[in-house]
Amino acid sequence: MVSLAIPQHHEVSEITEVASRPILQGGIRFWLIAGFFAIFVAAGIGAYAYQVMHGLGVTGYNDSVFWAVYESNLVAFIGISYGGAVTSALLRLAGAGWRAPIVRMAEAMALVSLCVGALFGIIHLGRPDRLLELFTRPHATSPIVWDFLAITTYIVATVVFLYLPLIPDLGAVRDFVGPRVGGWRLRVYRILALGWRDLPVQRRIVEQSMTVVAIVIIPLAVSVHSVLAWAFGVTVRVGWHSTILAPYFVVAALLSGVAAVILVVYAFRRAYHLEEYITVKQFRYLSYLMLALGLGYLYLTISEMLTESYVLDEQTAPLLQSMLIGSFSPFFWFFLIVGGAIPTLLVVLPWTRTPAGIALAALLTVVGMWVKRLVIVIPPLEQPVFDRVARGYQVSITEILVTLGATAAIPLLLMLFFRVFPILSIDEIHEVAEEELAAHHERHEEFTGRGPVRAEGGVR
Amino acid sequence: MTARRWSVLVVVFALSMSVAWPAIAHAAAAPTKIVMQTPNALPVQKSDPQSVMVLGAMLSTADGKPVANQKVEFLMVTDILGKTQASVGTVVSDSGGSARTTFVVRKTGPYQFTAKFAGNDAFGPSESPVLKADFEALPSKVQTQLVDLRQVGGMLPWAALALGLAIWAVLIVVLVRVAVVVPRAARGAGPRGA
Repeated sequence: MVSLAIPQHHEVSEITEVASRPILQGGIRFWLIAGFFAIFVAAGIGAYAYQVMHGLGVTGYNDSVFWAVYESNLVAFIGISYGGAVTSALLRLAGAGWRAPIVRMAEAMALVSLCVGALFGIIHLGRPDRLLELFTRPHATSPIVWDFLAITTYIVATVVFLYLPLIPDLGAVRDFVGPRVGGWRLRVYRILALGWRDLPVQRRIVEQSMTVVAIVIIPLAVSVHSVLAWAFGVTVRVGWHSTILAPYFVVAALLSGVAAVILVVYAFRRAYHLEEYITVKQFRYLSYLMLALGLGYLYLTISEMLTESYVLDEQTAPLLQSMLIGSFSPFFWFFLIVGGAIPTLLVVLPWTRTPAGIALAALLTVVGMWVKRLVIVIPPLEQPVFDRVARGYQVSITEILVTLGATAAIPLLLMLFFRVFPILSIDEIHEVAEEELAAHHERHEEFTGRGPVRAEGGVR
Repeated sequence: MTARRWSVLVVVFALSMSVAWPAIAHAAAAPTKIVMQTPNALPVQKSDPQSVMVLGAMLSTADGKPVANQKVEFLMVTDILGKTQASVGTVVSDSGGSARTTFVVRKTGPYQFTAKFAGNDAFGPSESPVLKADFEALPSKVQTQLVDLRQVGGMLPWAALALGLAIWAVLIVVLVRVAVVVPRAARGAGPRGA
């Protein structure tokens, strides 16, 4: 008999079988869903091609509002990535056992959303062909140069952070599932598993490396989002020139990242029936994390708005007016009510604190936080600088299509990623199950006063 | 004249009046003149950045009677990408024909303003002569000593670059160590299943 916390099937071969469901189960349903997302991605690529051919004039940009939806997407998608990576790294360093079934999805989501988000740095350029000048003619005082350095470093760190815990799992997939899959995927498993045989020296090296990267990735992610915030904060724009902007961005990123992790976990859990490993416990703990971060973000929002509105200088007044009762008030109040208050209630009330309720709260948070990024980026740019003429911004169909395409690219890339790589962290689930089993036997011995009990079925 | 001819005549008259009426009405409108006034001591004044300047204009008919309740637009003449006029604000003239608005001086230097009345059925349009103003910086009330931070500023990019390279180095070392040690350990353990 095992405790309820331990899945019935905790042997590596059995966990591998469950973790490889997306690899083994393709089928028409998979391709239909992938095709659905691919249509949006294709539309987005088409819209961007149109933009490259006709210039940034096809967007709603003007000489005053030169950052809009694209910059909001950059901040939002990189924020989601940051949240996924930091959640995984923190739980790993804290040794939280419940993390094991969800870290792979969090890390994969971090990489995918980062790659999509980083593209917006190029998409919102009027002359993307001049991107090379970041290398050939870098200017040390430009925040964009540092943004570029920070994001590329973070991409590399995220790849390493995703790959290291994959090594033991790829060894398991190679041995138990690989022969059935065959072809190029088996070759990929053989190459990337690096000859993994679960030897003590191999385990020691991989675990040491994972700890180092988990430690490195946290300050790195904080720095990436801070540099992004400083690209706004070092300007004299009203609403941006604020000392609180970097921590404000970091907390927002964590919040939207945790919410996105919940969404991804919920979707794949339902699609591949992973309820045995991903239980209500994971959703509950993630929702507590989301709630705490949400309250932290609310605190920073109140702090920022209170100090600005109390002084209410001549430049701030129209901005606050625009956000609270003016043209951007629907967005601001949507963020506060739909993206903040309702998710909080869904998590706080016990009868809505179910996986479905928490997933709904996460969805509203992700959408609400994206809308908040619009409120951060656009209204300050609409405020006049040289004269008193406010220049409005009207989103164009090109921007909408590119945004939809990028949003659809995240689930599509995740689906394709898990067609090749195991969706669960096999080795970590096995390790946690073994630890829990050993603890259970210890308690059993203490209670009965008998000798050691052998684990049912043994371990590998 | 038949009723048909009368109706054709009425239609032609109505059409021609609809086209010609604005011109007729305009010609009938009383001519106006507009003059800019500035309660501040212009044309040259010393000013702190952010100080508020009051721009005023007097709208009157050609014979000097004030024109009340009409929209007067204040414009700043700029030389950015050619001569352009940027709106400072539109104000309705009071019973004495006077209209006032404020302008925040954000930087020192020369400024040019003008006031415009677009005209309507009763009054003809007018534009004031350009008013030139020069803002010179006042000596700061707070005595400060400039600290030269150029040396620190010059070091910052290098420090950031060094930090970035250090992170790259850590990541590369970790990856290379795993890629070398893990396969080597497998090879050292002999064939699989042995």
